[in-house]
Order: sequence, then structure tokens, then C-alpha cells
Amino acid sequence: MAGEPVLQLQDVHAGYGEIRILKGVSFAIEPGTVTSVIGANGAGKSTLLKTIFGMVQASDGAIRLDGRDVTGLKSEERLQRGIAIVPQGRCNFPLMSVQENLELGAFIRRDGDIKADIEAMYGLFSSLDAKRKVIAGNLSGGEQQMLEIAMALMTRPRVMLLDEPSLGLSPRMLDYVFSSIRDLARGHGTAILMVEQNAVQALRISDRGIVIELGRVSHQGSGVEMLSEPDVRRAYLGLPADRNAP
Amino acid sequence: MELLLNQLINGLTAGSEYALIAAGLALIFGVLEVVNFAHGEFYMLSSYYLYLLMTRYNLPYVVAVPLVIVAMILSGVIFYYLVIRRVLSRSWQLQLIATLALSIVMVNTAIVLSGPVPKYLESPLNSQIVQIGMASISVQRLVVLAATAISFATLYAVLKYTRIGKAMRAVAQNREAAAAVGISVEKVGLATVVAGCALAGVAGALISPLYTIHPGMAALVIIKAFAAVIVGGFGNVTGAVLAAFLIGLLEALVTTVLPSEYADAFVFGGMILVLLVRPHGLFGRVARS
Ligand SMILES: Nc1ncnc2c1ncn2[C@@H]1O[C@H](COP(=O)(O)OP(=O)(O)OP(=O)(O)O)[C@@H](O)[C@H]1O
Ligand SMILES: [Mg+2]
Repeated sequence: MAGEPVLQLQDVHAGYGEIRILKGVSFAIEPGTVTSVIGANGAGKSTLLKTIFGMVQASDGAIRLDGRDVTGLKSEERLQRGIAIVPQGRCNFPLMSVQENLELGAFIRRDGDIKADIEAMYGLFSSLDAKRKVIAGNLSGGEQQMLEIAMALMTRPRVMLLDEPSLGLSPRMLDYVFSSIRDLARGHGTAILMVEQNAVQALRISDRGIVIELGRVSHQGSGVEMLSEPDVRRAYLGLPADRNAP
Repeated sequence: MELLLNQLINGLTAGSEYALIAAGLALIFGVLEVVNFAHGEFYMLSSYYLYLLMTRYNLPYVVAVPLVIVAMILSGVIFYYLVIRRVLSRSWQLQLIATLALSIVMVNTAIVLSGPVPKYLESPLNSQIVQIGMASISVQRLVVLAATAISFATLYAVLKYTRIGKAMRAVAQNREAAAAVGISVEKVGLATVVAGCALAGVAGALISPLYTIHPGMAALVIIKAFAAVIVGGFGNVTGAVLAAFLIGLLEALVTTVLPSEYADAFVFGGMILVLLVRPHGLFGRVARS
């Protein structure tokens, strides 16, 4: 897995006013890979994604996309350069149709391929295809999650940040969402950085895992390594430290 | 019969005034979640702009009106950068103090600059009367109705079809999702506040020739506009506009059969009744996410 990283964080600090949340986060992710971020509630996982997207400003450190510094850019500019986010919680326009939501997903684009890309999304997420005119607020939770991922894909991102994509999904939908995420990375070369509460399942489809603790990266490694790391198993995966224990 | 027709026109004119002001209030609240307590003062400001242009610069009414709208757009820009943008992501308490303070400053500035004595403006259209059936109606009132209709048609088209209009609806429905798709809440905020001020400007420029102009003139109107916004379902622009016309018509109806002092009692009594039956207003959504 040695390649050029698409996204690189170096000693990133961020927080809200006086409250410091990230205290020097460093890691890199490569194109076409899935990386899961795990950590306790309130550890700063959402803050990490918001800082990468520019909704929260980094007070120190550097964020690089394809080797170029984006730390000082506004979210709109980062979106233009290829970072997209699906924030935690409901993130669509509930009174607009599926079609209108997808059009708004392409808000920053001015080219002529938007219509074709929307059709491509209907191809990718067939459950949305039959519901083009349905108001987003009337879709099921899983369909809304699909819609939100599709909206983020409308900018053709190089890096996609997903904050708890499985929240509120049934186990069957969860499998579907996770396998879609993996296919997106493999098929489109999109690098995916996702925060997940369902850490075990997330790590199984992930190339890498990162643990955030006290505002820093405490462990990182391949998905398989993380699943067998005793500290991680005990503290975050709810599994016995020894993987061979009953 | 002619009395009824006259009162119908009066009710619609008053309703237009309330609706133009209520629409701006509802828009600013719906999109930015800011309650603009200075909104009535923008109506007052536009009336003074009209007065200034017509008496100081001797401009004819038809020339002065579009200039008032331009002045209101510029005032909206200043208001946005000076006040609203600074409190956009702050607590509602701070927003309340900021807009309330501006309202007080504007009223008192008007008192200092023009004195508390009411001013009268003569629009040439006021004395032109048309006969509709048996009723005689001043052209000014018909112009108010036409301009209100044009204003709302424009607002509707902007919100429905333009890029900035879609962005405004997006921010209203989910501010974080709007940020995620690259909509700048700051730009949307500017457009929203300017639209609200322009609508208040239309109200001031068209309706003040029918009444008197004085620093406290907004007080009577803004409370009806707030009633319309509440009855219409807070933040719902269409609801606020419809409720504003209902209030205007109800007032006119009450004053045909009862002394005019009763009108307010009926309006606010009606509002309380509506809220008892439908706590989120006539056209309100049950909850905001
Ligand atoms: N806008 C904000 N202003 C102030 N503090 C905030 C804000 N947003 C989050 N915080 C605080 O920052 C800390 C980290 O929050 P964050 O949402 O990043 O955690 P998280 O790891 O995503 O948690 P969860 O698993 O609950 O989603 C928390 O203590 C939270 O209370
Ligand atoms: Mg979170």
C-alpha cells in the first residue's frame, strides 16, 4: 500500500473557541482506500472531519490535498478541489425531491455533465431511481443515507468524508451501505474516510483504521491489524483482548 | 354594496402592507433563523426616503419610488454587514438584542433628524379616483395592489427558479447540508436580508402616501406583521402573506359594522384562537429539524 497520499494531515490542531479538541493529529490516506476513524463519544471524530472540510478552522498544522496545502481555504474551495463531506445526522433538503437534492449536490459545478452524472447516481443507487420525484423527507432512513452519499458524489470528489453513515440503519441496510462504500473506493478511486460506531463491521471493509484518543491518533494500522490489536479490541470494539478467547 | 366593495379594497390595501412586511420577516426567520426586530423600522426608513426625495429634491412620485427601492437595497446591504452577519451563528439572545437595539437607534435617529411631528406626502395618484361599479377607489390603492402582486410574483420566481433562490431554500431546510454542498451561508444571508428590506421598501414607498409619516409609524404595522408571521407558521413565507391578507380583510370587515377601535381586538383575538387550535399556525410545519 505504498503510494502517493491523496490527503495528508500533519500535526493538525482545532477546536471551538477556547475549547481545544484536536491536539496534533497526523495521518495520510491513499486513493481508492477506505479508512475508518474510531474513538469514544466526544473524542473529536466529527470535529476531525469538519476540520478537513473547513467547517471548523485548523488553528495549527497543515492539511494537504494531492500535496497542496488547503488549510487556509474555505469549504467551498475545498469542495471545488475535491473534498466532499456527508455530515453526521440528516443531511439533505427534506422538502425537495430526490432529483432537486441531487441537483443541489452539484451546486458548485457549472459544466454540462450534471444531468449525466445524476443519471449515473440513479444507476448506482437503484432504490433512488424509482423515487426521483419523491420528497427527500419521505424516504426511508437508508434511502436518505444513499441520497446523501449520492449528493456528495455529485462533485466527483477525490476524498469523501462520511460521518456515521450507518446511523439508524437496519442490519440489512447497513451491509448494503458498507458494501456500496467499498465499491465506491474500489471502482471510482475515491478515498473514503469514515467515522463509524459499528467499528467491527467498518474495520472489516476498511483498508486502514485510525483511533482518536485525547485529541491525537493513538493507534493506526490496517483494518485487520486493528481488529487484532488487544487495546483496540477491548476499548473500542467490545471484544475480548485475545482474539482466540471464546 | 359599494361600502362593502370599498371596504374590500381597504382591507386588501392594509393586507398588502402587512403582507409585504410580514414576508420579509418570515423570509429572514425562515432562512437565517433570525427574528429581525428592526424590520418595521425599515418600512419607516423607506417612507422617509420617499419623503426626502419628494420634498427635498422635488422628484415626482413615479421617479422617487424606484429610487426608494434602490436605497432600500443599499440599506439592506449595510444592515447585513453591520448587524446580521455578525450575529448569524450566535445565540438567539444576542440576535434579539442586536436587532432590537438597531430598531431603537433607528427610531430615535428619525426623531432627532425629522422631529416627532408627522409628515404628509401627496401622491398624485391619491386624488385620482376610478369608479368600479358604484364604488370610487383612489388609483393609489390600485397601484398598491398591483405592485404587491408584482413583488410577490417576483419573489416566488426568484425562490423557485434562480440559483440564489434555490440556495435560500436549501439553507432554510438544512443549513449544514447547504454548507456541505458548497452553498455560502454568508451570501445567502445577504440576499435574504436585501430581499426583506426591498419588500419593506415597496410597502413604505407605496403605502405611506395613504397615511402619515412619523418615527413611530412602524409600531402599529409591525405588530400585525408579527401576528401574520405567527399565524402563518413561523418562517413560512406563503403562510405569512396569506395570514396578512386575512388580517387586513378581517379589520376592514369589523370596521364596517363596529367602531374601528374593535378591529385590533378581533385581529388579536383571532390570532389567539388560531394558536389554540393550531399551535404551529395555520400553515406551519410541526417541527423544524
Ligand atoms: N459547535 C461546538 N461548539 C463547542 N463545542 C463543541 C461543538 N461541537 C462539538 N463540540 C464538543 O467537541 C467535542 C468533540 O465533539 P465531536 O462531535 O467531534 O465528537 P465525536 O467524536 O464526533 O462524538 P460522537 O461519537 O458523539 O459523534 C465534544 O466534547 C463536543 O461537546
Ligand atoms: Mg460525531
